[in-house]
Amino acid sequence: MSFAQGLLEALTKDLPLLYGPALLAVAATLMLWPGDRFVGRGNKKAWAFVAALVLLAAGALALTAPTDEGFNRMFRVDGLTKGFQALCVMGGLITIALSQPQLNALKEQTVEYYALILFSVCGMMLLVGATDLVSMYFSLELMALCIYVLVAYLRHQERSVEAGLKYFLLGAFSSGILLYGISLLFAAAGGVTTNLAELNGRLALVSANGSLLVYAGVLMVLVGFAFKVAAVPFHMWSPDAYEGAPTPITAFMSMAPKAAALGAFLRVFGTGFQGIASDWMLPLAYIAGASMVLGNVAALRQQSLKRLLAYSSIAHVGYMLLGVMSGDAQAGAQAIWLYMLTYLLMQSGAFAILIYLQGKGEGERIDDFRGLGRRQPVLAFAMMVFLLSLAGIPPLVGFFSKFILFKLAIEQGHVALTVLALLTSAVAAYYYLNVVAVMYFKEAPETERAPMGSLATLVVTVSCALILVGTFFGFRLMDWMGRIVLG
Amino acid sequence: MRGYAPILLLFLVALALPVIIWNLSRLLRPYAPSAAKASTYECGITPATEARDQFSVRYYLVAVMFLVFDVETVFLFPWAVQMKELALFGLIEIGIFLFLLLFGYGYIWSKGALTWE
Amino acid sequence: MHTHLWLIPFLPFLGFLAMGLLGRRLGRTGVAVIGVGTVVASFALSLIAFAAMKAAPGQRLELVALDWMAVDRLRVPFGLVFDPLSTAMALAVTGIGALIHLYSVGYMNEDEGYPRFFAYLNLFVFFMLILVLGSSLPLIFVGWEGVGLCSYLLIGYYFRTDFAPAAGLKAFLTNRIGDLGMVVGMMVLFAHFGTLTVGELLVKAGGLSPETTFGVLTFATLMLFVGATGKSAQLPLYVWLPDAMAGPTPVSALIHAATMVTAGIFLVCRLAPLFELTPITLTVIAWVGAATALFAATIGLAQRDIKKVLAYSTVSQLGYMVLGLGAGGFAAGFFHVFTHAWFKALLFLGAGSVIHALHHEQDLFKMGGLRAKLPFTFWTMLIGTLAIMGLPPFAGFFSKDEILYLAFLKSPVLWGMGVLGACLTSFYMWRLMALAFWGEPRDAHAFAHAHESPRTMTVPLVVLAAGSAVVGFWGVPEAFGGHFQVGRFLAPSLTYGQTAAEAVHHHGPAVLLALISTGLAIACGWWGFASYRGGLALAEARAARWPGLHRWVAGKYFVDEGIEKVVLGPVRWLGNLLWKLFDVILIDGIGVNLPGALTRVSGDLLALHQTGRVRNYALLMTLGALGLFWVFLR
Repeated sequence: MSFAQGLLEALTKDLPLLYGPALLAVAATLMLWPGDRFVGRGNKKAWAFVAALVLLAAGALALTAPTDEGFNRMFRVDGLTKGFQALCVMGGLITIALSQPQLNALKEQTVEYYALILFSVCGMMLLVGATDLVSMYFSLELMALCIYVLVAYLRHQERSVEAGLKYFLLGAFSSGILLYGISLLFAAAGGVTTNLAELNGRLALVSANGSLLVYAGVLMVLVGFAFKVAAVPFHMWSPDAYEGAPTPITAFMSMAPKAAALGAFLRVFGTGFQGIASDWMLPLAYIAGASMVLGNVAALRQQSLKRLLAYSSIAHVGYMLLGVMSGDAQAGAQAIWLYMLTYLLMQSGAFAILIYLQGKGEGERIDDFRGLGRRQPVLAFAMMVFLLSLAGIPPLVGFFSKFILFKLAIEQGHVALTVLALLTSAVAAYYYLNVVAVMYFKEAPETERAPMGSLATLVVTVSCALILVGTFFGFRLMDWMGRIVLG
Repeated sequence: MRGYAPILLLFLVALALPVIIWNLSRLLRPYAPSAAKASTYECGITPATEARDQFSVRYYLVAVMFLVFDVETVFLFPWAVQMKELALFGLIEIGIFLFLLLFGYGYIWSKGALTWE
Repeated sequence: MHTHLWLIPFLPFLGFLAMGLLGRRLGRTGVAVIGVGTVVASFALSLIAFAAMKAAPGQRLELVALDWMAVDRLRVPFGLVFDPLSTAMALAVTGIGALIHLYSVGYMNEDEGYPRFFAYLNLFVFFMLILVLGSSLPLIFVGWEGVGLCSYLLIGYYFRTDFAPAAGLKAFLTNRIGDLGMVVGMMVLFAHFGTLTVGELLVKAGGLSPETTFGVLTFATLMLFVGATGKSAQLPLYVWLPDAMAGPTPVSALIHAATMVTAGIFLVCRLAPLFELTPITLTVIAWVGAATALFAATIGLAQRDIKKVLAYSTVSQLGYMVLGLGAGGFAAGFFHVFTHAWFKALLFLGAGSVIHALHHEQDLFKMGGLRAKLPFTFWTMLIGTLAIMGLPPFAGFFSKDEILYLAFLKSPVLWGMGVLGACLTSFYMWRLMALAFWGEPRDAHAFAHAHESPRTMTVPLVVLAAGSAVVGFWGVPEAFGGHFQVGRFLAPSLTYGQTAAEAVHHHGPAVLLALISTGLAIACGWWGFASYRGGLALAEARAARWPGLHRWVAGKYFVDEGIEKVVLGPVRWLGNLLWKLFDVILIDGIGVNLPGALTRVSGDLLALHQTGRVRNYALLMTLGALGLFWVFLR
């Protein structure tokens, strides 16, 4: 009797929390087997539509999930969960749209590609809701393992395989550190719990007398997370992996896993380890500052746009970490969410254009953008909007998200770090503007005009429109969304 | 920090020991190298090729699959020991687990990973 | 009447959209009609607003379109404000903008980028009006950055040349440094007052006792002034303005002489009550202004490029305006903005007319004797020169005299610097006039083909010359029997009802000081005229006598070279180092080229190398973690 009741309760109460990710896992499994047996070799691209539909459905399920905690307090659905889940789903959808031209051209359409994206998004959705270090670790690994494979997806290209292997090895290394940190914290808290809230309470008591165990544990968890978001000095994998990976996957990596990892960052540090904030605040400040400086300075001399975007994404993470450091978890989460949302729009647009140029046989070098303003004015204008917005030049929407983040940091007393952020964002303007200058002020080589593909056009149009609309009106709308989603 | 001093000592001893032993034996042993001595030890049989050789990738595939299904046993074993106590709940749980595994099995089978050619 | 005022900024924006989207399809006439028409229309509307403001001074009108940013405590409306200050400024922007648009119709006639040029120009007018009329600091900042963007686009207009895009980038980046100050200032103000709307800010600031907020306010106003030095080309951020002359001449006249560069002064005037509370900032402002006025005037003495002379003259005149602000004469500073807009636009357009006539020859040493060939240009430029040297009753006299008098009240040293600067100004302006219009033609070929400019170019010159002659009477100082009307008109904006307007009473030395400064200026002007009337011989002899000094001045004190060496060099070096370290050595060198060469030779070596690299990465990660641990334990 008691078992049946327990089962019923678990099904009715806990399972609805996981409808979204569960749908993804089930659908991806079924797609692999037996689904793929029924699809002919030439029709694999049908899976793109299936995967997109599944993602949409999972996103809808996740957004309508009840706000509650379940599975022995291992998973929690609240505003933070929903907000970042939505971002991850968006990232997945954009990636599927952007992948089409390249996969078709290389004849690399397979069901595995989409299944892996679905599995990794499933991992991300679980990650942002995980309220226990163990469930968090498992979701993190689910997300990361799929991405290792996706990076090495083009297995006939040495660069891709090399990047995947490097990323995998370093990822395993960082996972080890993270896991060790978790075990240290588990021990420091008396060896009874890994639940974040309980852990926080116990650690705060232990830490009052300055325990080395807590120090070391928190630090190692911090290192593990810093690796996942590619913050300095744990960023080394990212330029290589970004450059070697298939370009749509590069776009994916710079959007969805970053959003998920930042969501977990907020969950673990922003709210979880609030009681021992003094232990991790200073190292995190160093990490954030170093990311801003190194990311921006290293991006200065890049000649490949992919590497440039990789380094600059390190810098953007540095800015977003300011939000994690905010003592006001709610405001910090809102600021990061908004920043991530605008970043997602700008990044997806920029990558769509980059992929288009790659598809035309032009590389990813900044020089290939020469004269784009003359050859394809509309495209160049969109690219300019994305780049200027990334640089945070008002009145584009990228400025507002930066402004809110920095304002929050100032209010929380991180003045020196904010000044550093402002200085480095001035540096960032230089290299973004350089690309704009190349587009408009350099003579164009004569090349043919190729059609862009409807999905990529859609992505560019929508993101550009959203950025422009956001600039004038949508900012309030987004803020309102931020309130609804996170509130 | 004081409590960790013995561990540090242990580290140092562990580091020093091989260095001492190796150097001692080098000092004490006679020096008479030969080709047979320098070759790899393979249970007394003369080695045919280099020890470092490339294997067919299929071996790795088999090894990975073995690992996956071997880990399955790791889960099955504690369940088997505690089967009485876990009762129906445990049975259903392990059933779901095996059911999920079935899909993985189906996938590798349909991909042809189980045929050697 | 109020409802259509929002059209003032948006008409040029509509013009920009039409020209930007339709482009060449409009045809030259269409572009000219839309470009000039929209600006003239908003000029007419500004005139109406100005008249209404004149009729009822002290009136303040805020049009709020919508709530723009609303994030917890932060509430920023998207609104325009009409008060004496903003309407007067809008009048100057649209009026002079309309004349310069008209002039460009002739000047850019042979250029193929006609629609692009007018689209940028209209966009500039839009952003400038947003800056002027914006009711909150963020909105002002939008305009601020927008005019910076347009300036960047227009400086780099001749993008086929090497130097124009570089000059554009230089302007943009220098301005970014200033913007940093502005953003910090804004954030500090917000953190302290909880609002960024100009009106609320001034009301709250006025309600505080000075002691409590002294430090914060001083810091905030200093930071805002850093922003102003960037936009208004003050020491040490003036370096971009002379290079900005790479753009077309109408652009130099509109953006880099008459309107955009005065944005910094406008910002200080807008927040005048705040600055009033911080005497330290005002002192800093006064000295920076005086130093700039003097410094730039000396450089102007030895330039050969006619536009460079005018550029340094602009920097110098901006210094006077800033000096006026620093001396507490916000109205006086603003009045000089107003008069300077007329005569400097006139001088630039005159110079443009000369350049146009000589087929883009800008070297003064190759001109000469153009008086008879270009009568309109000559007479109008003569009026501009008389105005800038401060000869009564031309416009420059009244505004400059008021500033110098206030500077004297603050410190006689400031006055001395100002008068010396005025003497130098007079000298180099007469040098320019003598070299261009008197003497023998030094380039016979160009002289033979020189011709007076078309009507669309001479009409604006005449209008501006008329303005330069009379606008000074709007602010005749009390010492000369006037009432300094401009001060009374602006008083409601500048004091914001906080304190009663303190009228500056001129007494004893005012007339004497004016006589001294004007007399010296005339003497120096004559000296400059006499030295160059007969050609270059005298000047070359003088340069030969003091070669070191001449080299320094003609080389603009080598400030650009110094910046290159001290600032840009190390930054570039660092970027290069990192690039070399990470890309060339680690990735290109070890990561790409080496394996590429070795793959064919040895797969083993490659494998060995690969693990080596990941190991390096892992080692660095470990070192990083240990470093953080050390931070912990410290």
